Amino acid sequence: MRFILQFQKVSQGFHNKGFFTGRMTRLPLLGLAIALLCTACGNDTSTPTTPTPPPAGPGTETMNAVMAPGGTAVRTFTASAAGTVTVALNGTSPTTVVGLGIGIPGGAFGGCDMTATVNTSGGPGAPQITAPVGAGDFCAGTFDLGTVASGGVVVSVTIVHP
Amino acid sequence: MRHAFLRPIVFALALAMTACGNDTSTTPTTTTGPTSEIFEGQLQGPGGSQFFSFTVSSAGNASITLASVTTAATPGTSINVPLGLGLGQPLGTDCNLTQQTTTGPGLAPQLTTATNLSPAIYCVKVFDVGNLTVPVNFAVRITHT
Repeated sequence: MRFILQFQKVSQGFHNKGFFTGRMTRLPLLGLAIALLCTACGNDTSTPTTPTPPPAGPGTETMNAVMAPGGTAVRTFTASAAGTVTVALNGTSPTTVVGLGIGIPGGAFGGCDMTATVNTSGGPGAPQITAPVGAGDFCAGTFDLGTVASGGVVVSVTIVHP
Repeated sequence: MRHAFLRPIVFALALAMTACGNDTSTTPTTTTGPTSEIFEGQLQGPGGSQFFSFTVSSAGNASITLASVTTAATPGTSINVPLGLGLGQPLGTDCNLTQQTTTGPGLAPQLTTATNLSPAIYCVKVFDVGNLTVPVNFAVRITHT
């Protein structure tokens, strides 16, 4: 309502000063207002961002890492469905017996709460761990049993998951 | 004179700005799926127990996995000691169990609700069933709606 009154007042002002006269002169102004309105509002394209789900299995994860004395070398992975996971310690260099395990990500040793573990130096007999899992996030890797020398040990782990 | 000519233009601009002041942004729709929570703790020895409360926000199934049992003496090394694992609702200072099982650690759920849980507060309890001789650390994964 205020805009209409203001518009009328403006129009009267033009009439009084003799600048514009008649309805024809008001129409371009109204057209200008509408044009501005359309121009200003015609470009509001807000595209909703769709959350991207994290990538999930099935797959094979390979980890090659240097594990320090007292340390861990752990990798997390996601099983997309229930199935069987295998964890293989392919080898260690220099050859060293270490702990190999599978579990769920948590606050324990190396960020992985171990479910099943074996002591192995890798190589023949791999995969050393086979475990049934439900769908979800898991972790697997190695940890020092007190056998790793000061220079560390290179570990190579392969995880196959659904 | 010049002032009078500018007024309608100012008015038009004001109208255009007013019209555009009410753009409502679209919030992305997110689909809420099951939530996973980790319950970690320690049983001090024979007869020990601990429970953890969680909130079910919409009706659905819950699954519980006793995923890890280790000792402080050999950190990282799992031990296959069967423990009691139960689901219920908090009652006073305890967890009143409606379902329970005895199981060793595993990576597939050992306890799944038979029917949908209604939105409410529930609890998971881990307890010794007579096998413990030393303190153990445990980790339980709870997946619920």
